[in-house]
Amino acid sequence: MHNVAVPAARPLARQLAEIADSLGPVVAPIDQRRQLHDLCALVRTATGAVSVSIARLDGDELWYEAADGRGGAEVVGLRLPTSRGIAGYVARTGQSLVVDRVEADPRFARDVAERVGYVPDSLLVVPVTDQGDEVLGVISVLDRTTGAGDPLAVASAAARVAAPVLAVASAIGRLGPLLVRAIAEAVEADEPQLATALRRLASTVPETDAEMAEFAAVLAEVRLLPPAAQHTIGRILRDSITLATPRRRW
Amino acid sequence: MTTGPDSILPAWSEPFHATGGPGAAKVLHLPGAVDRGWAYGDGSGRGVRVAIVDSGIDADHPAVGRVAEYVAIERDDRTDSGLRLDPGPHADLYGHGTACAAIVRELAPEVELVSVRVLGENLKGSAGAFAEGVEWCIRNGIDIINLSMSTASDRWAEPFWELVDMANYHHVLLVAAMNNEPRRTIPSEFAGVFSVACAPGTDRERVWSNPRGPAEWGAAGIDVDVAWLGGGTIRTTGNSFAAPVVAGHLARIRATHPGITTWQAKTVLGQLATNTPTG
Repeated sequence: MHNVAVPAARPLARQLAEIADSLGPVVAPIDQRRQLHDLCALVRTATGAVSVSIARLDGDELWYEAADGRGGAEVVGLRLPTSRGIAGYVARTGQSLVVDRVEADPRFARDVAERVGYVPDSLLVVPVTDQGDEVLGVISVLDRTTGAGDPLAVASAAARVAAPVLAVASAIGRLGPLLVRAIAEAVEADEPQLATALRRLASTVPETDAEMAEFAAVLAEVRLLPPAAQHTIGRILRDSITLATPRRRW
Repeated sequence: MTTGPDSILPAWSEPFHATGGPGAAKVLHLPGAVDRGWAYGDGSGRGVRVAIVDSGIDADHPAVGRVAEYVAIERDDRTDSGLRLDPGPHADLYGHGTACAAIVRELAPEVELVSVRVLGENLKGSAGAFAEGVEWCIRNGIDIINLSMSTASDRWAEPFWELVDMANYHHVLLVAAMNNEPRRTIPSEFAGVFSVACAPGTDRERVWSNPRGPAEWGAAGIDVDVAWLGGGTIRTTGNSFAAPVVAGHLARIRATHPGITTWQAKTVLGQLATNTPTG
Protein backbone atom coordinates (compact mmCIF):
# COMPACT_ATOMS: atom_id res chain seq x y z
CA MET A 1 0.00 0.00 0.00
CA HIS A 2 1.24 3.42 -0.90
CA ASN A 3 0.45 6.48 1.10
CA VAL A 4 0.24 9.15 -1.68
CA ALA A 5 -1.04 12.64 -0.85
CA VAL A 6 -4.01 11.27 1.09
CA PRO A 7 -3.59 13.60 4.11
CA ALA A 8 -4.04 16.64 1.82
CA ALA A 9 -6.68 15.22 -0.49
CA ARG A 10 -9.20 14.17 2.17
CA PRO A 11 -9.75 17.58 3.84
CA LEU A 12 -9.78 19.15 0.39
CA ALA A 13 -12.58 16.88 -0.73
CA ARG A 14 -14.52 17.77 2.41
CA GLN A 15 -14.02 21.49 1.84
CA LEU A 16 -15.05 21.15 -1.79
CA ALA A 17 -18.26 19.39 -0.72
CA GLU A 18 -18.95 22.22 1.73
CA ILE A 19 -18.47 24.86 -0.96
CA ALA A 20 -20.73 22.91 -3.31
CA ASP A 21 -23.35 22.83 -0.50
CA SER A 22 -23.09 26.61 -0.07
CA LEU A 23 -23.43 27.26 -3.76
CA GLY A 24 -25.98 24.48 -4.31
CA PRO A 25 -29.10 26.49 -5.14
CA VAL A 26 -27.30 28.70 -7.64
CA VAL A 27 -24.91 26.31 -9.35
CA ALA A 28 -27.40 23.71 -10.46
CA PRO A 29 -27.69 24.51 -14.20
CA ILE A 30 -31.01 22.73 -14.47
CA ASP A 31 -32.59 25.27 -12.08
CA GLN A 32 -31.26 28.19 -14.10
CA ARG A 33 -32.58 26.72 -17.31
CA ARG A 34 -35.94 26.16 -15.64
CA GLN A 35 -36.03 29.75 -14.34
CA LEU A 36 -35.22 31.12 -17.78
CA HIS A 37 -37.71 28.82 -19.44
CA ASP A 38 -40.44 29.87 -16.98
CA LEU A 39 -39.63 33.50 -17.75
CA CYS A 40 -39.96 32.80 -21.49
CA ALA A 41 -43.34 31.16 -20.89
CA LEU A 42 -44.48 34.13 -18.77
CA VAL A 43 -43.46 36.66 -21.44
CA ARG A 44 -45.12 34.53 -24.12
CA THR A 45 -48.40 34.52 -22.20
CA ALA A 46 -48.26 38.25 -21.44
CA THR A 47 -47.52 39.22 -25.04
CA GLY A 48 -49.57 36.56 -26.80
CA ALA A 49 -46.41 35.64 -28.72
CA VAL A 50 -45.82 32.48 -30.76
CA SER A 51 -42.33 32.03 -29.33
CA VAL A 52 -39.97 33.66 -26.79
CA SER A 53 -36.27 32.93 -26.25
CA ILE A 54 -33.43 34.07 -23.99
CA ALA A 55 -29.81 34.07 -25.19
CA ARG A 56 -26.67 34.72 -23.18
CA LEU A 57 -23.90 36.85 -24.66
CA ASP A 58 -20.55 35.06 -24.64
CA GLY A 59 -17.85 37.09 -26.38
CA ASP A 60 -19.12 37.72 -29.91
CA GLU A 61 -21.72 34.95 -29.77
CA LEU A 62 -25.26 34.59 -28.50
CA TRP A 63 -25.92 31.25 -26.79
CA TYR A 64 -29.63 30.42 -26.74
CA GLU A 65 -30.23 29.14 -23.20
CA ALA A 66 -34.02 28.82 -23.03
CA ALA A 67 -37.10 29.16 -25.21
CA ASP A 68 -40.83 28.57 -25.06
CA GLY A 69 -43.27 28.11 -27.92
CA ARG A 70 -42.96 27.16 -31.57
CA GLY A 71 -39.40 26.32 -32.66
CA GLY A 72 -38.29 26.52 -29.02
CA ALA A 73 -36.68 23.07 -28.92
CA GLU A 74 -34.66 23.87 -32.04
CA VAL A 75 -33.45 27.23 -30.82
CA VAL A 76 -32.07 26.07 -27.43
CA GLY A 77 -28.38 25.30 -27.75
CA LEU A 78 -27.98 27.47 -30.86
CA ARG A 79 -24.91 29.72 -30.96
CA LEU A 80 -25.04 32.68 -33.33
CA PRO A 81 -22.54 35.48 -33.99
CA THR A 82 -23.51 39.04 -32.96
CA SER A 83 -22.00 40.40 -36.17
CA ARG A 84 -25.34 40.21 -37.95
CA GLY A 85 -29.08 40.00 -37.50
CA ILE A 86 -31.53 41.87 -35.33
CA ALA A 87 -30.61 40.06 -32.09
CA GLY A 88 -26.94 40.71 -32.90
CA TYR A 89 -27.60 44.43 -33.25
CA VAL A 90 -29.35 44.49 -29.86
CA ALA A 91 -26.55 42.48 -28.21
CA ARG A 92 -23.86 44.74 -29.58
CA THR A 93 -25.57 48.09 -28.91
CA GLY A 94 -27.73 47.44 -25.86
CA GLN A 95 -30.63 49.14 -27.69
CA SER A 96 -33.95 47.34 -28.08
CA LEU A 97 -35.40 46.86 -31.56
CA VAL A 98 -38.92 46.15 -32.81
CA VAL A 99 -39.22 44.94 -36.39
CA ASP A 100 -42.36 43.85 -38.22
CA ARG A 101 -42.24 42.07 -41.57
CA VAL A 102 -38.97 40.41 -40.57
CA GLU A 103 -38.57 38.59 -43.87
CA ALA A 104 -37.59 41.94 -45.38
CA ASP A 105 -34.30 41.63 -43.47
CA PRO A 106 -32.39 39.07 -45.57
CA ARG A 107 -29.73 38.42 -42.93
CA PHE A 108 -32.32 37.49 -40.35
CA ALA A 109 -34.01 34.99 -42.64
CA ARG A 110 -30.79 33.23 -43.56
CA ASP A 111 -29.19 32.98 -40.12
CA VAL A 112 -31.98 32.16 -37.76
CA ALA A 113 -35.25 31.30 -39.37
CA GLU A 114 -33.90 28.60 -41.66
CA ARG A 115 -32.08 26.81 -38.84
CA VAL A 116 -35.07 26.97 -36.53
CA GLY A 117 -37.52 26.02 -39.25
CA TYR A 118 -39.91 28.81 -38.39
CA VAL A 119 -40.02 32.25 -40.03
CA PRO A 120 -41.73 34.87 -37.86
CA ASP A 121 -43.47 37.95 -39.24
CA SER A 122 -42.42 40.20 -36.38
CA LEU A 123 -39.63 40.32 -33.86
CA LEU A 124 -39.12 42.33 -30.68
CA VAL A 125 -35.68 42.06 -29.04
CA VAL A 126 -34.63 43.70 -25.77
CA PRO A 127 -31.18 43.64 -24.17
CA VAL A 128 -30.52 42.05 -20.77
CA THR A 129 -28.03 44.36 -19.06
CA ASP A 130 -26.23 44.50 -15.72
CA GLN A 131 -26.06 47.55 -13.45
CA GLY A 132 -23.15 48.95 -15.45
CA ASP A 133 -25.23 48.68 -18.66
CA GLU A 134 -23.02 45.87 -19.99
CA VAL A 135 -25.05 43.50 -22.16
CA LEU A 136 -25.47 40.01 -20.65
CA GLY A 137 -27.87 38.68 -23.29
CA VAL A 138 -31.10 39.32 -25.18
CA ILE A 139 -34.78 38.34 -24.97
CA SER A 140 -36.50 37.78 -28.33
CA VAL A 141 -40.30 37.87 -28.70
CA LEU A 142 -41.52 36.37 -32.00
CA ASP A 143 -44.91 37.20 -33.48
CA ARG A 144 -46.57 38.96 -30.57
CA THR A 145 -50.35 39.37 -30.69
CA THR A 146 -52.62 41.35 -28.43
CA GLY A 147 -51.40 40.35 -25.00
CA ALA A 148 -52.05 41.63 -21.50
CA GLY A 149 -49.61 44.54 -21.63
CA ASP A 150 -47.33 46.67 -23.79
CA PRO A 151 -44.99 43.98 -25.15
CA LEU A 152 -41.93 46.23 -24.96
CA ALA A 153 -42.61 47.02 -21.29
CA VAL A 154 -43.26 43.32 -20.54
CA ALA A 155 -40.04 42.19 -22.25
CA SER A 156 -38.03 44.95 -20.53
CA ALA A 157 -39.36 43.89 -17.13
CA ALA A 158 -38.47 40.27 -17.93
CA ALA A 159 -34.97 41.41 -18.92
CA ARG A 160 -34.49 42.93 -15.46
CA VAL A 161 -35.51 39.58 -13.90
CA ALA A 162 -33.26 37.61 -16.26
CA ALA A 163 -30.20 39.78 -15.57
CA PRO A 164 -29.09 38.21 -12.26
CA VAL A 165 -29.75 34.70 -13.61
CA LEU A 166 -27.55 35.29 -16.68
CA ALA A 167 -24.91 37.01 -14.53
CA VAL A 168 -24.77 33.99 -12.21
CA ALA A 169 -24.66 31.64 -15.22
CA SER A 170 -21.59 33.48 -16.55
CA ALA A 171 -19.93 33.61 -13.14
CA ILE A 172 -20.52 29.94 -12.42
CA GLY A 173 -19.19 29.09 -15.85
CA ARG A 174 -15.88 30.66 -14.78
CA LEU A 175 -15.98 29.37 -11.19
CA GLY A 176 -16.11 25.63 -11.99
CA PRO A 177 -12.79 25.42 -13.88
CA LEU A 178 -11.18 27.63 -11.25
CA LEU A 179 -12.16 25.27 -8.42
CA VAL A 180 -10.82 22.26 -10.29
CA ARG A 181 -7.55 24.05 -10.99
CA ALA A 182 -7.28 25.05 -7.33
CA ILE A 183 -7.76 21.46 -6.15
CA ALA A 184 -5.19 20.20 -8.64
CA GLU A 185 -2.69 22.81 -7.44
CA ALA A 186 -3.43 22.15 -3.78
CA VAL A 187 -2.92 18.40 -4.15
CA GLU A 188 0.26 18.91 -6.10
CA ALA A 189 1.64 21.27 -3.45
CA ASP A 190 0.43 19.08 -0.56
CA GLU A 191 -1.68 22.06 0.57
CA PRO A 192 -4.41 21.09 3.06
CA GLN A 193 -6.34 24.37 2.85
CA LEU A 194 -8.39 24.98 -0.31
CA ALA A 195 -8.89 28.66 0.63
CA THR A 196 -5.12 29.19 0.57
CA ALA A 197 -4.83 27.48 -2.81
CA LEU A 198 -7.66 29.58 -4.21
CA ARG A 199 -6.03 32.80 -2.97
CA ARG A 200 -2.73 31.82 -4.57
CA LEU A 201 -4.58 31.06 -7.81
CA ALA A 202 -6.38 34.41 -7.62
CA SER A 203 -3.07 36.23 -7.88
CA THR A 204 -2.26 34.55 -11.21
CA VAL A 205 -5.51 34.76 -13.21
CA PRO A 206 -7.26 37.65 -15.03
CA GLU A 207 -9.05 40.19 -12.84
CA THR A 208 -12.61 38.93 -13.28
CA ASP A 209 -11.57 35.33 -12.57
CA ALA A 210 -9.49 36.52 -9.60
CA GLU A 211 -12.62 38.09 -8.10
CA MET A 212 -14.45 34.78 -8.50
CA ALA A 213 -11.60 32.83 -6.85
CA GLU A 214 -11.54 35.30 -3.96
CA PHE A 215 -15.33 35.02 -3.66
CA ALA A 216 -15.10 31.21 -3.53
CA ALA A 217 -12.41 31.46 -0.86
CA VAL A 218 -14.64 33.72 1.27
CA LEU A 219 -17.57 31.32 0.86
CA ALA A 220 -15.35 28.47 2.05
CA GLU A 221 -14.59 30.45 5.24
CA VAL A 222 -18.21 31.51 5.80
CA ARG A 223 -19.27 27.87 5.58
CA LEU A 224 -17.21 27.08 8.70
CA LEU A 225 -19.00 29.75 10.84
CA PRO A 226 -22.05 29.05 13.06
CA PRO A 227 -25.49 29.38 11.38
CA ALA A 228 -26.31 32.69 13.14
CA ALA A 229 -23.12 34.27 11.80
CA GLN A 230 -23.84 32.91 8.30
CA HIS A 231 -27.32 34.48 8.49
CA THR A 232 -25.91 37.88 9.51
CA ILE A 233 -23.32 37.82 6.72
CA GLY A 234 -26.03 36.99 4.20
CA ARG A 235 -28.12 39.97 5.38
CA ILE A 236 -25.14 42.36 5.18
CA LEU A 237 -24.38 41.10 1.65
CA ARG A 238 -27.93 41.74 0.51
CA ASP A 239 -27.89 45.26 2.05
CA SER A 240 -24.56 45.95 0.35
CA ILE A 241 -26.00 44.94 -3.03
CA THR A 242 -28.94 47.33 -2.49
CA LEU A 243 -26.61 50.19 -1.52
CA ALA A 244 -24.37 49.56 -4.52
CA THR A 245 -27.31 49.72 -6.94
CA PRO A 246 -27.38 53.15 -8.62
CA ARG A 247 -30.61 55.14 -8.36
CA ARG A 248 -32.19 56.65 -11.43
CA ARG A 249 -32.42 60.40 -11.84
CA TRP A 250 -35.82 60.46 -13.52
CA MET B 1 -53.86 56.61 -26.49
CA THR B 2 -53.98 57.06 -30.21
CA THR B 3 -52.18 53.81 -31.05
CA GLY B 4 -53.85 50.48 -31.74
CA PRO B 5 -53.97 47.57 -29.29
CA ASP B 6 -50.98 45.85 -30.86
CA SER B 7 -48.86 48.97 -31.08
CA ILE B 8 -45.88 49.49 -28.88
CA LEU B 9 -45.23 52.72 -27.03
CA PRO B 10 -41.50 53.19 -26.45
CA ALA B 11 -40.58 54.65 -23.07
CA TRP B 12 -40.45 58.47 -22.82
CA SER B 13 -43.02 58.74 -25.61
CA GLU B 14 -45.95 58.84 -23.16
CA PRO B 15 -46.29 62.67 -22.94
CA PHE B 16 -46.96 62.84 -26.68
CA HIS B 17 -49.77 60.28 -26.39
CA ALA B 18 -51.51 61.55 -23.25
CA THR B 19 -54.86 63.30 -23.61
CA GLY B 20 -54.03 66.81 -24.77
CA GLY B 21 -50.50 65.74 -25.79
CA PRO B 22 -47.54 67.39 -24.09
CA GLY B 23 -49.51 70.64 -23.67
CA ALA B 24 -48.77 73.75 -25.69
CA ALA B 25 -45.33 74.47 -27.07
CA LYS B 26 -43.62 77.52 -25.54
CA VAL B 27 -44.01 80.32 -28.05
CA LEU B 28 -41.81 83.39 -28.22
CA HIS B 29 -43.82 86.34 -29.49
CA LEU B 30 -41.42 87.73 -32.06
CA PRO B 31 -42.19 90.93 -34.02
CA GLY B 32 -42.70 88.78 -37.13
CA ALA B 33 -44.07 85.26 -37.48
CA VAL B 34 -41.72 82.27 -37.90
CA ASP B 35 -43.25 80.26 -40.72
CA ARG B 36 -42.01 77.20 -42.60
CA GLY B 37 -40.99 79.25 -45.63
CA TRP B 38 -38.68 81.47 -43.60
CA ALA B 39 -37.37 78.60 -41.46
CA TYR B 40 -36.91 75.88 -44.10
CA GLY B 41 -36.19 77.89 -47.27
CA ASP B 42 -36.45 75.49 -50.21
CA GLY B 43 -36.39 72.54 -47.80
CA SER B 44 -33.43 70.92 -49.56
CA GLY B 45 -30.92 70.95 -46.70
CA ARG B 46 -28.34 71.77 -49.41
CA GLY B 47 -24.72 71.44 -48.28
CA VAL B 48 -25.49 70.60 -44.64
CA ARG B 49 -23.25 67.81 -43.36
CA VAL B 50 -25.34 65.31 -41.40
CA ALA B 51 -23.52 62.48 -39.64
CA ILE B 52 -25.30 59.23 -38.86
CA VAL B 53 -23.45 57.71 -35.86
CA ASP B 54 -24.68 54.14 -36.12
CA SER B 55 -24.13 50.75 -37.81
CA GLY B 56 -22.92 52.22 -41.13
CA ILE B 57 -24.88 53.38 -44.20
CA ASP B 58 -25.66 51.30 -47.30
CA ALA B 59 -25.02 53.84 -50.09
CA ASP B 60 -26.47 51.40 -52.66
CA HIS B 61 -29.90 51.64 -51.09
CA PRO B 62 -32.14 53.66 -53.46
CA ALA B 63 -33.56 55.69 -50.56
CA VAL B 64 -30.09 56.80 -49.40
CA GLY B 65 -28.15 58.06 -52.42
CA ARG B 66 -24.59 59.26 -52.14
CA VAL B 67 -22.61 59.06 -48.91
CA ALA B 68 -20.12 61.96 -48.85
CA GLU B 69 -17.70 60.56 -46.29
CA TYR B 70 -17.13 57.49 -44.14
CA VAL B 71 -15.30 56.82 -40.93
CA ALA B 72 -15.42 53.59 -38.90
CA ILE B 73 -14.40 53.32 -35.25
CA GLU B 74 -12.55 50.01 -34.91
CA ARG B 75 -10.95 48.22 -31.99
CA ASP B 76 -7.16 48.53 -31.81
CA ASP B 77 -5.36 47.38 -28.68
CA ARG B 78 -2.17 49.16 -29.75
CA THR B 79 -3.65 52.64 -29.19
CA ASP B 80 -4.20 54.41 -25.83
CA SER B 81 -7.97 54.52 -26.29
CA GLY B 82 -8.08 50.95 -27.63
CA LEU B 83 -9.79 52.39 -30.73
CA ARG B 84 -8.73 53.48 -34.22
CA LEU B 85 -10.47 55.49 -36.96
CA ASP B 86 -10.73 53.88 -40.41
CA PRO B 87 -11.63 56.19 -43.30
CA GLY B 88 -12.89 54.69 -46.54
CA PRO B 89 -16.21 53.15 -47.62
CA HIS B 90 -17.82 50.56 -45.37
CA ALA B 91 -21.03 48.54 -45.35
CA ASP B 92 -23.95 48.77 -42.96
CA LEU B 93 -23.68 45.75 -40.65
CA TYR B 94 -27.31 45.64 -39.56
CA GLY B 95 -29.56 48.09 -41.46
CA HIS B 96 -30.22 50.49 -38.59
CA GLY B 97 -27.92 53.26 -39.87
CA THR B 98 -29.34 52.97 -43.38
CA ALA B 99 -32.84 53.46 -41.92
CA CYS B 100 -31.78 56.67 -40.15
CA ALA B 101 -29.90 58.00 -43.21
CA ALA B 102 -32.87 57.43 -45.53
CA ILE B 103 -35.21 59.35 -43.20
CA VAL B 104 -32.88 62.39 -43.23
CA ARG B 105 -32.54 62.11 -47.04
CA GLU B 106 -36.33 61.99 -47.43
CA LEU B 107 -36.79 65.25 -45.51
CA ALA B 108 -33.72 67.12 -46.75
CA PRO B 109 -32.71 65.57 -50.11
CA GLU B 110 -29.56 67.63 -50.70
CA VAL B 111 -27.72 67.06 -47.42
CA GLU B 112 -24.22 65.57 -47.39
CA LEU B 113 -24.54 62.30 -45.50
CA VAL B 114 -21.56 61.14 -43.44
CA SER B 115 -21.47 57.58 -42.08
CA VAL B 116 -19.76 57.24 -38.69
CA ARG B 117 -19.84 53.52 -37.93
CA VAL B 118 -19.46 52.68 -34.25
CA LEU B 119 -20.47 49.00 -34.23
CA GLY B 120 -17.44 47.28 -35.72
CA GLU B 121 -16.14 43.79 -35.00
CA ASN B 122 -14.95 43.06 -31.47
CA LEU B 123 -15.85 46.49 -30.09
CA LYS B 124 -16.33 46.13 -26.36
CA GLY B 125 -18.20 48.70 -24.31
CA SER B 126 -20.17 50.31 -27.11
CA ALA B 127 -20.68 53.62 -25.23
CA GLY B 128 -16.97 54.40 -25.66
CA ALA B 129 -17.29 53.97 -29.41
CA PHE B 130 -20.43 56.21 -29.51
CA ALA B 131 -18.47 58.90 -27.66
CA GLU B 132 -15.50 58.55 -30.01
CA GLY B 133 -17.83 58.88 -32.99
CA VAL B 134 -19.52 62.01 -31.62
CA GLU B 135 -16.16 63.62 -30.89
CA TRP B 136 -14.94 62.89 -34.43
CA CYS B 137 -18.06 64.66 -35.77
CA ILE B 138 -17.48 67.76 -33.63
CA ARG B 139 -13.86 68.02 -34.79
CA ASN B 140 -14.58 67.37 -38.48
CA GLY B 141 -17.03 70.01 -39.57
CA ILE B 142 -20.28 68.12 -39.11
CA ASP B 143 -23.37 70.39 -38.84
CA ILE B 144 -25.84 67.89 -37.40
CA ILE B 145 -25.21 64.59 -35.61
CA ASN B 146 -27.90 61.90 -35.43
CA LEU B 147 -27.26 59.52 -32.53
CA SER B 148 -30.04 56.93 -32.36
CA MET B 149 -28.37 55.19 -29.42
CA SER B 150 -27.81 55.86 -25.75
CA THR B 151 -26.21 54.33 -22.69
CA ALA B 152 -27.69 53.84 -19.21
CA SER B 153 -24.27 53.60 -17.58
CA ASP B 154 -23.64 56.33 -14.96
CA ARG B 155 -19.93 56.29 -15.64
CA TRP B 156 -20.54 57.70 -19.13
CA ALA B 157 -22.53 60.68 -17.84
CA GLU B 158 -19.56 62.99 -17.40
CA PRO B 159 -17.77 62.21 -20.70
CA PHE B 160 -21.04 62.80 -22.56
CA TRP B 161 -21.77 65.99 -20.61
CA GLU B 162 -18.44 67.31 -21.87
CA LEU B 163 -19.18 66.22 -25.44
CA VAL B 164 -22.64 67.84 -25.41
CA ASP B 165 -21.14 71.13 -24.18
CA MET B 166 -18.36 70.84 -26.74
CA ALA B 167 -20.91 70.28 -29.52
CA ASN B 168 -22.87 73.35 -28.41
CA TYR B 169 -19.85 75.66 -28.37
CA HIS B 170 -18.79 74.34 -31.79
CA HIS B 171 -22.34 75.06 -33.03
CA VAL B 172 -22.95 71.40 -33.86
CA LEU B 173 -26.58 70.30 -33.44
CA LEU B 174 -26.72 66.93 -31.63
CA VAL B 175 -29.93 64.93 -32.07
CA ALA B 176 -30.23 61.94 -29.72
CA ALA B 177 -32.96 59.30 -29.40
CA MET B 178 -34.32 58.52 -25.95
CA ASN B 179 -33.91 54.87 -24.90
CA ASN B 180 -36.96 52.72 -25.70
CA GLU B 181 -36.97 51.60 -22.09
CA PRO B 182 -37.60 53.59 -18.90
CA ARG B 183 -34.03 53.94 -17.67
CA ARG B 184 -31.20 56.46 -17.80
CA THR B 185 -30.61 57.59 -21.35
CA ILE B 186 -27.27 59.31 -21.88
CA PRO B 187 -26.72 61.72 -23.64
CA SER B 188 -30.37 62.13 -24.73
CA GLU B 189 -31.57 63.12 -21.24
CA PHE B 190 -29.27 66.18 -21.23
CA ALA B 191 -30.76 69.59 -22.03
CA GLY B 192 -28.09 70.50 -24.59
CA VAL B 193 -29.24 67.93 -27.15
CA PHE B 194 -32.39 67.57 -29.25
CA SER B 195 -33.82 64.56 -27.37
CA VAL B 196 -36.47 62.68 -29.32
CA ALA B 197 -39.21 60.12 -28.56
CA CYS B 198 -42.21 58.89 -30.56
CA ALA B 199 -45.22 61.10 -31.28
CA PRO B 200 -48.49 59.83 -32.80
CA GLY B 201 -48.81 59.06 -36.49
CA THR B 202 -46.39 58.37 -39.31
CA ASP B 203 -46.25 61.81 -40.96
CA ARG B 204 -42.61 62.93 -40.89
CA GLU B 205 -43.55 66.54 -41.62
CA ARG B 206 -44.87 66.86 -38.05
CA VAL B 207 -42.69 67.57 -35.00
CA TRP B 208 -43.98 68.01 -31.45
CA SER B 209 -42.39 70.11 -28.71
CA ASN B 210 -42.52 68.91 -25.09
CA PRO B 211 -41.27 71.85 -22.99
CA ARG B 212 -41.10 69.70 -19.84
CA GLY B 213 -38.61 67.16 -21.24
CA PRO B 214 -36.57 65.08 -20.83
CA ALA B 215 -37.92 63.90 -24.21
CA GLU B 216 -38.08 67.44 -25.60
CA TRP B 217 -39.17 66.58 -29.16
CA GLY B 218 -41.64 64.07 -30.60
CA ALA B 219 -41.79 62.69 -34.14
CA ALA B 220 -43.09 59.67 -36.07
CA GLY B 221 -41.51 56.40 -34.92
CA ILE B 222 -44.36 53.92 -34.30
CA ASP B 223 -45.20 51.40 -37.05
CA VAL B 224 -43.10 53.32 -39.57
CA ASP B 225 -41.61 52.00 -42.82
CA VAL B 226 -37.84 52.47 -43.00
CA ALA B 227 -35.07 51.51 -45.43
CA TRP B 228 -33.10 48.38 -44.46
CA LEU B 229 -30.46 46.04 -45.84
CA GLY B 230 -30.84 44.56 -49.30
CA GLY B 231 -32.49 47.62 -50.85
CA GLY B 232 -35.88 47.03 -49.23
CA THR B 233 -37.84 48.38 -46.30
CA ILE B 234 -39.13 47.02 -43.00
CA ARG B 235 -41.85 48.24 -40.66
CA THR B 236 -40.54 49.07 -37.22
CA THR B 237 -41.12 50.98 -33.97
CA GLY B 238 -38.63 52.87 -31.84
CA ASN B 239 -37.36 56.26 -30.71
CA SER B 240 -34.36 55.49 -32.98
CA PHE B 241 -36.48 56.26 -36.03
CA ALA B 242 -38.04 59.44 -34.60
CA ALA B 243 -34.65 61.10 -34.02
CA PRO B 244 -33.65 61.34 -37.72
CA VAL B 245 -36.99 63.06 -38.44
CA VAL B 246 -35.90 65.91 -36.17
CA ALA B 247 -32.41 65.80 -37.72
CA GLY B 248 -34.03 66.21 -41.17
CA HIS B 249 -36.06 69.25 -40.08
CA LEU B 250 -32.94 70.76 -38.52
CA ALA B 251 -31.02 70.19 -41.78
CA ARG B 252 -33.57 72.34 -43.62
CA ILE B 253 -33.22 75.07 -40.98
CA ARG B 254 -29.43 74.91 -40.94
CA ALA B 255 -29.22 75.15 -44.74
CA THR B 256 -31.36 78.27 -44.69
CA HIS B 257 -29.68 79.78 -41.61
CA PRO B 258 -26.06 78.60 -41.74
CA GLY B 259 -24.31 78.25 -38.39
CA ILE B 260 -27.55 78.47 -36.38
CA THR B 261 -26.88 77.30 -32.81
CA THR B 262 -28.67 74.68 -30.75
CA TRP B 263 -30.63 77.22 -28.70
CA GLN B 264 -31.57 79.34 -31.72
CA ALA B 265 -32.66 76.24 -33.65
CA LYS B 266 -34.73 75.03 -30.68
CA THR B 267 -36.60 78.34 -30.70
CA VAL B 268 -37.30 78.11 -34.46
CA LEU B 269 -38.36 74.45 -34.38
CA GLY B 270 -40.57 75.13 -31.34
CA GLN B 271 -42.44 77.87 -33.25
CA LEU B 272 -43.18 75.34 -36.02
CA ALA B 273 -44.22 72.45 -33.76
CA THR B 274 -47.51 70.67 -34.38
CA ASN B 275 -48.67 71.54 -30.86
CA THR B 276 -47.84 75.26 -31.12
CA PRO B 277 -50.98 77.25 -30.25
CA THR B 278 -52.38 79.22 -33.15
CA GLY B 279 -54.02 82.66 -33.08
